[in-house]
Amino acid sequence: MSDKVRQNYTEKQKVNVFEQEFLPHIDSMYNFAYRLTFEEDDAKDLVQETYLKAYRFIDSFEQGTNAKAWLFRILKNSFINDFRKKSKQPSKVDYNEVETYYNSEDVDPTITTDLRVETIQHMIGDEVSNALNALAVDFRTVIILCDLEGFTYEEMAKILDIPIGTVRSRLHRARNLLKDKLKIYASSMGYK
Amino acid sequence: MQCPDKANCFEILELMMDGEATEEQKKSFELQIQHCMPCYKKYHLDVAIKEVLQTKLNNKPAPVDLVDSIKLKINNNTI
Repeated sequence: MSDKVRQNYTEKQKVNVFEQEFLPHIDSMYNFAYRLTFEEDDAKDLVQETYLKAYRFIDSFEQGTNAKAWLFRILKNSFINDFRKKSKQPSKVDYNEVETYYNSEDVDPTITTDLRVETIQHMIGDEVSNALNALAVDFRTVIILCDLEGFTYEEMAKILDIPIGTVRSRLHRARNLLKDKLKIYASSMGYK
Repeated sequence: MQCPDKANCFEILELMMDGEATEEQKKSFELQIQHCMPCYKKYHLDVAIKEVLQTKLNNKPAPVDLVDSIKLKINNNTI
């Protein structure tokens, strides 16, 4: 679970780490789980499973380091290993065409040019939420981690087990896809 | 109007937005954005979307019984 030196916590220290460093993140964890699964019961199960694993592997966690990133990593792995298998989520996206995005000529498709800042600012939470939820899970995940949870690229790379370059290309692609969804939504609602 | 250095410009825009740009990149951004209307527009749209994501999405509190249920399971497993 971690390549760091194993700690040797006493039972009391374990409870302390768990309560002081792990439990304060429960709301963020629940929201992440809910945005992955779209089901309250599944989100609860996923968070519970994550916390039980975190406790079981607590000796791999160094007190005072980034508990939130550590927990998010466990949750993401649990989701991939256990939940995604039995759900109807689409399978992984093919990223091969993504890697060269900064050099691509069609990096700024016209679909994004007439979406206006004011239009975005007038949208309500549900509208934005629906657009985000319409993205494939791997794209949705990077936007949640970066924009909603404020993780750095480096933290995201660790949570997702991918290089920073891939974090950035995936995020870039995800944002363009989200913009497309928002644009389609804005047009359908008659926003100008 | 087209940005003369779109690839580089977009890359820096994203780094700026996510607070990941180096000092050198920040300087380059300040210079570029003054002269580049397409990139300026794109940047403001991207920032607006990021802000809307941060401020308008509903965050649910975790269900009240979830923490108790987790603690109970841990206690049962460790006794």
